[in-house]
Amino acid sequence: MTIIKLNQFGSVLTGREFGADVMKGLASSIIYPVCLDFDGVESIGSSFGDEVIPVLALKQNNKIAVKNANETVRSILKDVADDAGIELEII
Amino acid sequence: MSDSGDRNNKLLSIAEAAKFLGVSRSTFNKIRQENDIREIMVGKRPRFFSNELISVLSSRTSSVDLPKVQIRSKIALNILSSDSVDLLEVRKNVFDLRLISQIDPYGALSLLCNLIVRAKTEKRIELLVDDKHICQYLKTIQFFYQLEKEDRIFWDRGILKGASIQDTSILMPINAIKVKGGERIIAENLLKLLRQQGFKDTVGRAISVILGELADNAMTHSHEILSERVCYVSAKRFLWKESNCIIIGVADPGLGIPASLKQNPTYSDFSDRGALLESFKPHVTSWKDSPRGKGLTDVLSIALGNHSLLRADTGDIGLSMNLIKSGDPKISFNEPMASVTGTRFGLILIDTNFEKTDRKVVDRLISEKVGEL
Repeated sequence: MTIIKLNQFGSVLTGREFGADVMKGLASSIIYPVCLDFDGVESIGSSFGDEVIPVLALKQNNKIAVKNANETVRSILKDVADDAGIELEII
Repeated sequence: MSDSGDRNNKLLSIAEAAKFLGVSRSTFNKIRQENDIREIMVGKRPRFFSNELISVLSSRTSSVDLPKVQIRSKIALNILSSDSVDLLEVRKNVFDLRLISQIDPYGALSLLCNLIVRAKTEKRIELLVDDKHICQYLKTIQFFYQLEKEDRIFWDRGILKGASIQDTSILMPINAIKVKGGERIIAENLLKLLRQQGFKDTVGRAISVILGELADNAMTHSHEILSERVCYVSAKRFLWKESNCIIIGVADPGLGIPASLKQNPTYSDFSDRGALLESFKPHVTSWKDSPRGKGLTDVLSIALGNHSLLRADTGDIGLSMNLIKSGDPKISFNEPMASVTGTRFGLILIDTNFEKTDRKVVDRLISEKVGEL
């Protein structure tokens, strides 16, 4: 499983356009399945999450695994996953 | 403002009111006839609230000579106040900043946006300043620095030369974000600072989410009316109800939430108040057929979970949400601190561990309130 360390994009991940840009950057080099590592990420916004989480999950049976997510990040990820109808696996 | 809640709001007799306004008694009686000034009868004699006289003053421009004396009633521009920046306008396009008794990031940004928007249409705006605490504070938080780019706003810079204060309560002076992504750098820095100052991570992280979402919204919509994208943010710490708190202000001089939301045909028939409230519900967005519309819901979810206080002004609408009592949120419309285009948010967060409230609760709460309109 490919681990994607999201802290390479910063510790505060907000903004829809930024999320779309991050996803574009990732898209060309991803080998599925992936797991998102939130180590070093303090917070995430729904708008950012919307542009990344469902897009990745779509390529792996609507599931996505995440690790090292703090409570604030988890809470937003759950909302994003609920909205998109995807399964969130918290490691 | 409650009549009794402001020590500066005094009941004045006719003679005192005339003196207060710097006009003769006959002139004051003329003002009474021309304006709808509230009279409180004490025995058989009418009395007038000093703060309401200032409101009358600010709306009058020509019928009577303007007062030459300094008005001493003070104006509080903070999130807990119901005063308006209009009270500072002692003469048309003349704002007396010396009248401010208290100001916080929400008040400072309301005043800033009011001046910036006004300067787009007026030839000249003057600010009356002194070297006392409030003007020094405004200088320290870069209020005047943000106005320096406006070539129609004037003040005596000599008075403020060298004036600044050491105020550890200032967490973040006024920052103007002009490129998308700028808010993330500011949020990261603020988070570090809050951690250094001993604030709980839950609060710091929540603030970074709020700042990110509100600033991103503002940056998306502010250029619809201005030639450039711009969003102002500022933060300060303070003690409130014996709790360590942070107040954060986010403002933009753009289109404003109702006009923006009504671009989506689904909401085009909404009243402005309805549109402002509706914008806090999940999946409500100005974009047609888009999965957007979660930022404001998240902001309210955090505010509800934190049992805090949120204000949102847009145009001539003020929305206040008092969420302090669990299970008894109080949402009301009132006068905005500044009646100008764009949107100003003020939010108090209490330094405590908390979880944001479920979006469904936000949806229910707002639906009920929209239904009451």
